[in-house]
Amino acid sequence: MRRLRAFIVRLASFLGFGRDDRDIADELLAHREMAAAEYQRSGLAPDDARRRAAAEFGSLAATADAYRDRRGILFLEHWIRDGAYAVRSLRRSPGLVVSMVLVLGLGIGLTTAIATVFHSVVWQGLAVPEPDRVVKLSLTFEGRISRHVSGAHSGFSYLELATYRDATRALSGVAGVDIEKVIWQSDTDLQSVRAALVTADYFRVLRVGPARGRVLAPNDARQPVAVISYRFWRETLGGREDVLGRPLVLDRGTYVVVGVTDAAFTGTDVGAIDVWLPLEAASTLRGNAGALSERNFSWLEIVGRLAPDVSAAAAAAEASVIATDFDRDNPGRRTTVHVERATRLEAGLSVSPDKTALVGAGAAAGVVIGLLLLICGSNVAALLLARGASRHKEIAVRVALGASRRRITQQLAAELLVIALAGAVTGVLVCTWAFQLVAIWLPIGGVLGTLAPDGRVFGLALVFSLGVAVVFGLAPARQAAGVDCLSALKGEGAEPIRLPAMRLRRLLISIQVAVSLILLVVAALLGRSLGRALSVDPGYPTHGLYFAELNRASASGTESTVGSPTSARQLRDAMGSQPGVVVTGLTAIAPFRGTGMSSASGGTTRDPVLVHYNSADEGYFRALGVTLLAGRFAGAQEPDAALVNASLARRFWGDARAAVDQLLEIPGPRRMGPRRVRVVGVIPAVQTTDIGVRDEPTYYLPIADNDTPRVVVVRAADQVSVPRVVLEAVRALDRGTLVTVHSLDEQLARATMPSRLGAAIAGLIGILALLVASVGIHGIVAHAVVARTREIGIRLALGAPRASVLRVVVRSSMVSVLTGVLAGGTLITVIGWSLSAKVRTLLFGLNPMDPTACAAATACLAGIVCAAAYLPARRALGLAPLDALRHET
Amino acid sequence: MSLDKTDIWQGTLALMVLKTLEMLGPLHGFGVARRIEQTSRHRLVLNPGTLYPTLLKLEQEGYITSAWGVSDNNRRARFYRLTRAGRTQLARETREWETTTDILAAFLSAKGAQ
Repeated sequence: MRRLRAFIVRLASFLGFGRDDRDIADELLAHREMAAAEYQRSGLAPDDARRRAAAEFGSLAATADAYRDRRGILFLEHWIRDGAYAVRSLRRSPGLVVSMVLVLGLGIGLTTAIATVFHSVVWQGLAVPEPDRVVKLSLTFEGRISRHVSGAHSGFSYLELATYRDATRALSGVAGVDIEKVIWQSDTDLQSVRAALVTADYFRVLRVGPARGRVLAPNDARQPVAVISYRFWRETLGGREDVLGRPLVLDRGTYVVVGVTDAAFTGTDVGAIDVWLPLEAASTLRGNAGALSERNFSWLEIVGRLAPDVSAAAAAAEASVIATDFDRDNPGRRTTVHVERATRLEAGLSVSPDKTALVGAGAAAGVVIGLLLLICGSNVAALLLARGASRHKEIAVRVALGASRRRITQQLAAELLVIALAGAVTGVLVCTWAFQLVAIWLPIGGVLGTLAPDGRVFGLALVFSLGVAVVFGLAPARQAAGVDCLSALKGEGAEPIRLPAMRLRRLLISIQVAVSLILLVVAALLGRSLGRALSVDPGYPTHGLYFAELNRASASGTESTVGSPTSARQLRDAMGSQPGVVVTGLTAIAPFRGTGMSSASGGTTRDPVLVHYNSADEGYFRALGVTLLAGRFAGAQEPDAALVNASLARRFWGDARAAVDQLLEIPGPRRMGPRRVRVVGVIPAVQTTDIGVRDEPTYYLPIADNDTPRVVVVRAADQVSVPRVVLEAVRALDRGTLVTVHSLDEQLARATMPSRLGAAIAGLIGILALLVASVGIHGIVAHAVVARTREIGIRLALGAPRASVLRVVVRSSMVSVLTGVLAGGTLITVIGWSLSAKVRTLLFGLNPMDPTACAAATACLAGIVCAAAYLPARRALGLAPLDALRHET
Repeated sequence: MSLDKTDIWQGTLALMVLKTLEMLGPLHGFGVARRIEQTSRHRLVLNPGTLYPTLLKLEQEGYITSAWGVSDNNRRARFYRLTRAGRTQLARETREWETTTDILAAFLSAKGAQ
């Protein structure tokens, strides 16, 4: 109790309440005078009495100090005094401090931004109640398959979703989602909005409620109703309260707004959803009802919620049982249903063949974070070392005046703390800017749109900053505090030559060189891949190539309810007669818009192999500008003829020419077993599936008369506006058909946007790393050489030739650099070997061990180090030996 | 003998200060120091650097209060006065100290008799 009271009183006096220094001094002075008066009374002369009293009293200041120590709260006062002192002493070397804070801030800011984005996209659950009970389902297949894919390979068909919903007990509900870009026709103009076509129990499964009106109910499945997002309501529709009941014209359908979702809910994927529509009603209105009855069609992402008291493992076990249901109609196929905790990422990423890409992205994010922190940390350490070295005389003086080494370390730590705090604040600013940049560059809203620096971001920045400061700052601080004060005061040497300090410095140089080499190579690679992304060559001329896509029909062979089966052909014929149109053709799937997956066997392969397929007529290949390597094109009357690309030919028969006239075994119509087709021609492996990657083995079936292709491919002369021509042609046909027209250039630009963005960010990081590394390496090397000025003087005085001294000095710096280059190079090689194939995809066909990039980065660093070592060494050599001997930093 | 900052002397010094203030009433620091030195027959020399922090500590704990006043010789000085809590504390500490010295005396004399 008493202690508490004492503490409160001390706290109060620490805060300025209570006695001040003046008051204390007065009291002590009174004491001394009373003592003097007493001595005087006992017979001493006034002067002697005063002297005696003073001698007895001792130091007034020391007593006042002891008094003051008791008065307030010592450690708190020390902290504050240290903080103030740190700020004052840091202000004396603003350049160094600003560079440290900038280095920390930039590194910490980017790191925090990367970590936050990664966390919100990859790790955080959905913004719904009990997000950890929400799962996403995905499919993978083995064996004989024939399946149409729109979007992710792992999607469900509508019938599969229905089967699953009926069978599951482990999940309290499952809902399907199909995300589409639709055109919203407002009163004034046309606007593209992001729509989620969802089954009616979607909101019940996710437990998302309305902010206005209601969400979708089970009996809405066939109703043309819409639920809009809070953001869409506020920002696009002006937040009017009379929005309920308003019609929304989306593509060709009209939907009545029945509700607005809760503000926090933006959907279940990375981008933000503007409007939710009932899947069944919207598919019908969009002329896509056929998809609802198609069994082998991946187009729906499935979200489910675990039933009470059911574990994820139990749900997974149940899934493997239900999967066998899916295989009943597909002899020879083995389906696996994967159940994973729902994040904003697409379901199945972690189990699909793209897994390595995800793992790679995660690893890359982690590595970049680690490297950035490492490079910042070692730079701060280097700058602190340099600072500590140049201050060792000041520290020596303070040690000599009685400061304990502990107090000095504390003070240095306080400086570190101040720098770390400033770094964290700068970091949060940088992070905020990074978020804003992301929001501007990637205008998709959703989870990225909601990123904002909150307490967690600040906490993370602080943790990173303090961590870096402590890990990398304590060693230099302790070295600085451990100064040998006698020799320092005598001015013996600019700095005592101590092995640990030199070793630490060399190690730091090596680490910096290695890390910046890695970052530079990564940056150089991505920079070059940026160049390639901007000029992706799919193997055929892209300019003037257009695709008119009719409403998404189901896979070939099933009926579509809107538009007659010949409408694509009619559009093609109508287009063919337009001026400026060079060639037209038909295909099932436009380049980079999806793919067909099928098993196939033939030639040397006995077991079925998973390959891609498409159907296309001769006009498609002619419009693309693809020439035959061997054989001929298949005619429309040859249902059992096929074209293969060079990858498939090589895979199955070893050579393009050898493939002609060979038999290829592929899955037949449903329940009919395999069928054989004859290869009549071979085309080169161009790029139509993934940008920057030559197509995997692919076969092409001709378009038979009873097929319903949905894409018209048009090659047009430069001056022709194909979208206008298409629209006019459609209007002339008046088939009531929805057509979207893409130019391939546009398509490529959109597809390469993420990699362009990534390359830009990586380039930025690389340049930053180079800058930071240059500053750090230059500072540390230059300082090391300056510290050797005396040694250089001695060598010169003893008669060493200048050239050999220069060589010695530069060589010793180069050793650390070479160590770093070797370490960095080894790491890059190891990483390159382990990731090569997948990274190649991401890097648009570049070799991760690109020698040019490595060499450029190495040369850059070596140049900086040479300059940093050479210039101060030259200066030292230019001094007269005597001056060099007396040199002080 | 000089009282330094070791805990045991700080504790006893606080007791001596409280006792002095109880005996003589309100008193300034110098007076307290002199009184303690006299009582100890100058075997203790009180350093102001030890005395004043002790006075401050006692004041912070609420056992004494202080105020500026005028001394017998018309000097301005800060006078310390025992509070009621101080009196209680003095009584308690005196009892504890007596017990302690009793035990120690018994212990030491027993050892001497051996």
